[in-house]
Amino acid sequence: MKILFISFLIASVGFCTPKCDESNLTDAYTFPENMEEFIPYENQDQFTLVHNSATEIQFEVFRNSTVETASCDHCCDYYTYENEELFVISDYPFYDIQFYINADDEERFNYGITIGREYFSLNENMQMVDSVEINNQYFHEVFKLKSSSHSEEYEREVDSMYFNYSIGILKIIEQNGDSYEIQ
Amino acid sequence: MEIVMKFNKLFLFATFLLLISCNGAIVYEEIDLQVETEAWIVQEEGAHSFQMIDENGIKNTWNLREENNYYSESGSAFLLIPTRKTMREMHYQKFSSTILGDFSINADAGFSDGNAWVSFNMPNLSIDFDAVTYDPIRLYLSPNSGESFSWYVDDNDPPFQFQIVTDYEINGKTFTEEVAVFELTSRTEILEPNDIVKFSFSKDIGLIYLELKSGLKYFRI
Repeated sequence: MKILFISFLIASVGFCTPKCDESNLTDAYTFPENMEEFIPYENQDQFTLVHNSATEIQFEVFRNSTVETASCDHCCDYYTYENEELFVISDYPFYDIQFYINADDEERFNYGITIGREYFSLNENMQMVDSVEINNQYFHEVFKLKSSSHSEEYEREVDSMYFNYSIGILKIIEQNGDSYEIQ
Repeated sequence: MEIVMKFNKLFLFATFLLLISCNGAIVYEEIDLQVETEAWIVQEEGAHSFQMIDENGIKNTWNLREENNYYSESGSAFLLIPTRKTMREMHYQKFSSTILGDFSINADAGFSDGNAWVSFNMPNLSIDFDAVTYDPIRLYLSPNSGESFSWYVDDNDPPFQFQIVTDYEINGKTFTEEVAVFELTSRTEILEPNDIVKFSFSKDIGLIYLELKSGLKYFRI
């Protein structure tokens, strides 16, 4: 009797779950028109960071622009969103650096940077400084970002970074006190 | 003839019963790691997080991410009846660096008819050696390029040098514990510039030297 009842339940779920004869596009999230003002690097751009030991490390940026598709669980509708990924590569052994930028509702966007295991989120809570001196140069509208990762304090290697939308990565500060500054 | 067949069946059945009754006499052995072998495992807690510095003054941090000390079970059987059970001790550690990747050490107590062995597993290569004779047993190259290479103890022309030394001097420091020194001498063409070609590993302390194919060297701080 129990087996019959369970079988009936399973069958009900199977027959009553809506089947997707066709999927509907419900939304298409796009970046604002001035989005390029917030992305500091073009494809194959290069820059140099200088370690406090005076060692210079060259980086090259590779951009990947796509339109991604996402849907909710147990529904037939889907939405698309514009997506930008930037890969910052060096021949020198260094942290993997990636930018993750994707469009959201009403021309808002999500913006994050990973350096190694650490994740830095650019959001409405971040504080901006009008002017900062780094490596004998002055930079404007600079954000000082702290890692959003949940790693333990002793495991954290990158503590914070300085960033602005016009130049990009200005300074990386490691937990051990070492730093890398834009040349 | 019928009697003979019945006797054979009876004999087989009696043999089977005898074997089952001998189940209580299964041979059990436990092989523990010797102190000298386990010394390759980084014992000092202070050495579970360490830094290395390269020639350009850039530091790399390594942290102990995983450690397991356990007994691995194996055995043999006759006609599905267990006759032997072996428990051999193993000790494993994995260290991780965000920039250079993971490396691990595995100390294996081995089997009763052989020696214990130790494995050093770097991001792009691993080497096993006999913990008693210090002879290398196996090398495996596995760079990111996808091309791999294996060498075994019975093969000729090992593409590497491996030795255990004492009073090892590197970058102005002397390490008094035994140090395993590895250098890849050929087959480097399948490696990428940031792959490891040399390393030195001290008992109790752990990794003390690394050299990449690009020539960049790292020293334990």
